[in-house]
Amino acid sequence: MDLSDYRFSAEPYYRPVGHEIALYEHAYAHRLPLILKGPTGCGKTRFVEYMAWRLGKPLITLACNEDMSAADLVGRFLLDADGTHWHDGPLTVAARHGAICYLDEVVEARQDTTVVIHPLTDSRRKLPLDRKGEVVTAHPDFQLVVSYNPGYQSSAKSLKPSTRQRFAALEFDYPDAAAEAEIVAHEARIEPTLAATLVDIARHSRALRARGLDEGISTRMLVYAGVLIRDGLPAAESCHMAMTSAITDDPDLRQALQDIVDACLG
Amino acid sequence: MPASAEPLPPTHTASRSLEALGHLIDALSGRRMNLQWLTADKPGTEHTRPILRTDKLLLPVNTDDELRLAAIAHAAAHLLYSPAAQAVGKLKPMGIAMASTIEDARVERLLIARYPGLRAPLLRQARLACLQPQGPEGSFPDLIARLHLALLDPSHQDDGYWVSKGRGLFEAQVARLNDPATFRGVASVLANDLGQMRVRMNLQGYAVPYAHGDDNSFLWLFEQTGEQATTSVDTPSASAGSRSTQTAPPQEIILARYPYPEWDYRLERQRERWSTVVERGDPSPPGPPAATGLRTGHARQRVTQLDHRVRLRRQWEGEDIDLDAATELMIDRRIGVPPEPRVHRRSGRSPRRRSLLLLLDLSTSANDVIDADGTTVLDLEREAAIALQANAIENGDRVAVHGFSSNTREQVDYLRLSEFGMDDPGRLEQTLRGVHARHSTRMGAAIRHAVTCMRDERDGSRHLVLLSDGEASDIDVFDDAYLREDAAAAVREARKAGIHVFCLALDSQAGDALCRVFGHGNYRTVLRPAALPRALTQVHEQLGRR
Ligand SMILES: Nc1ncnc2c1ncn2[C@@H]1O[C@H](COP(=O)(O)OP(=O)(O)OP(=O)(O)O)[C@@H](O)[C@H]1O
Ligand SMILES: [Mg+2]
Repeated sequence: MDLSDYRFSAEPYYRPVGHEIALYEHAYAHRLPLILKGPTGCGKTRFVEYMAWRLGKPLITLACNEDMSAADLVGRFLLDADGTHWHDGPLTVAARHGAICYLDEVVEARQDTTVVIHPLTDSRRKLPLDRKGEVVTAHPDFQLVVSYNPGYQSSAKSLKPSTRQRFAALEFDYPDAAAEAEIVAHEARIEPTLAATLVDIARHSRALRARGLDEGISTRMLVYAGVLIRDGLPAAESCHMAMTSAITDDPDLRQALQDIVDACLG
Repeated sequence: MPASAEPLPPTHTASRSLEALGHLIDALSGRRMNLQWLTADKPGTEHTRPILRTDKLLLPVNTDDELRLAAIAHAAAHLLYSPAAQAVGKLKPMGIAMASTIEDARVERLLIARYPGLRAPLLRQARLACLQPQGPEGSFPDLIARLHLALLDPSHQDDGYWVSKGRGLFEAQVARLNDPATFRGVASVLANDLGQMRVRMNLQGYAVPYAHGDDNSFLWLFEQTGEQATTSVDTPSASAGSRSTQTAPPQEIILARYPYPEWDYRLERQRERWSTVVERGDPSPPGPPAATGLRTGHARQRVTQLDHRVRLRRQWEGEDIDLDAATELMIDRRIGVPPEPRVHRRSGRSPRRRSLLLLLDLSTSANDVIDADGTTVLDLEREAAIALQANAIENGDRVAVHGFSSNTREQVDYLRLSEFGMDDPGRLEQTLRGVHARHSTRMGAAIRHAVTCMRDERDGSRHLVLLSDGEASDIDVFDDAYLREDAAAAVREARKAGIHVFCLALDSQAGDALCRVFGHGNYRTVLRPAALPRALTQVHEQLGRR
């Protein structure tokens, strides 16, 4: 199978924030499954894309959700004119043909779905396709990476210990102010001073996590706001649209965030 | 006095709530501040200026929104840049007022440099103070208001000699805006001048002429005797229990006793039958509705979840092939009939089943009065419980509300205020009104008993939500760690029994202890008690994400 659609032809922009590149390379050298932990929009997906490019491997990404079943990962029988035929799911494709498989927000999947990755992520490196009666041995290039947002004091979901203990983890957080401004300036193509002001707003919002805001304003939101400003929309309006109105439905938190936007923009 | 008459458009139309202002001051100052309205003890004694403490800001109630925003900005400026509790030394009242004004201007200038958007609201108040002078021209309040405006707005024209001199001295030092001592020097020169100009200060009725400025008590360390009496917000238990009408107190009737073990972390073992839970209450509550197993049908929008027991046939897609449909499809094809393409099977959704037990901490600390109206923590717990029950019923959850307090290990009082399936809001409200708070918080025993009470809730997920100040304590225990570790053990046991335990805590200081007892992600602290009912509703909604 040709995985060229899953390869990166150009280098994805990634601004390192620590030793994560070296750590990832070591993990990959031993094909250790990895958990990337961190708040939403802090660069986890971008990092995996960059690493796949750097290692020259194809990347297959799948966003997990609660309704996902094991068949969505490993594959299923389909019907056509000649009867039934088996269709590999994304995880099977990656394992069979040697891609990095990235399961985004893995906690969203139910625990009975996530167990299908168990035999792939221990020393066996095998994926049994029960319905088909085949056992796929993982390609030497195959690696499994999952992301996970521990969240702010949300008890809702977590990984089973038996799943969790199959992974090595890299922790992500929003980068320090200077690095984050650099990223926002690059991604939104805006002036560094404006990017720094946007980052300043985000830092304030992250202080409101203790007051009931689920998550602070993410790097991704800052990029959105920056793009709107570059398009010619007034800065305050851009921020309200891309950040304050989007991030919370709580009128009081939104009001406070708007006041912070206004205070910082001047 | 030259007044600037340019029109000032309002910045916001809707007025900010106390909650929103609280968020804002925290975000600006980087601290956790407690914000409260300032109400008068007696009519006629209204405070007209905010009062700032290191952890608390009191805002006069009768203020407009713009003034509130400026007051928040001003307070944030002090919190960020002012040294607190400075020694008064030999300063006379006028010297203090003078130094405070210069300090106000200094920190407001710093704040504006940091947050340019706060310049407009601060300037608006500074101008208003000059437009509505507190005294005749040349009087102390008039001069202070004008100086403050001149220092805040370098482009503002004021021809008064003293004001101009003040501005000159201030601007000369502006490169050292970060150094409060330098500006104490400026203030003392200006205060001296006032003395020579024979300007007098009205000691009794003086209030900072710009209404967003606080009473300056944050800046100074007054001798005990000299300190102005402020408000009664700090006095706890002022009207404890005043709201509870006590007819036949159900808390006095003992229904049953249950022994429970306790975990002794020093011995690393359980002490059997160590604590006794005493169930109290109304001996003949109306039984739960006849059909106990059935869920009452008034849920408006049931939350659903994926359920493997529900198999949907003939679907467009799914994880399995529906064999009957597939056979038909093959037959249709053979005989040349257009086939029906829906040949998959998948799991369907069914209403989520969830049982929720709210456990209220009814220890003495619930009698703490949290605002000038005499509202107690217990009042808020009641309100929160009623709101939670309504919300839960709305969502189709089964809900019970229980409460506890303790008086040594012999007596852990436990009240079943409302049972599973007994979804009568009026009744809960009535029962809650009869409840009063007393004694201590032996959390572990109460959790164990709550788990027992959830024994029969087998259908769906089970959650125990504890509403508390977060600290386990009792009068027969002197080692803080003992009851905390026991509570942690009780939480672990509950988890093993398949019950998720979450704590909503009122004390922000208890963070580490909470994490120890309930585990990461299983607690939340509420900084202002007033936010409790809403926080509880949010917690309830979050539990739904499981
Ligand atoms: N270190 C970084 N280098 C380059 N871009 C970054 C970096 N961090 C964040 N970004 C920018 O932020 C955006 C969001 O990042 P990304 O999509 O990787 O977040 P995520 O952590 O995967 O979020 P989620 O958990 O919601 O999936 C990216 O599109 C990119 O523009
Ligand atoms: Mg992502």
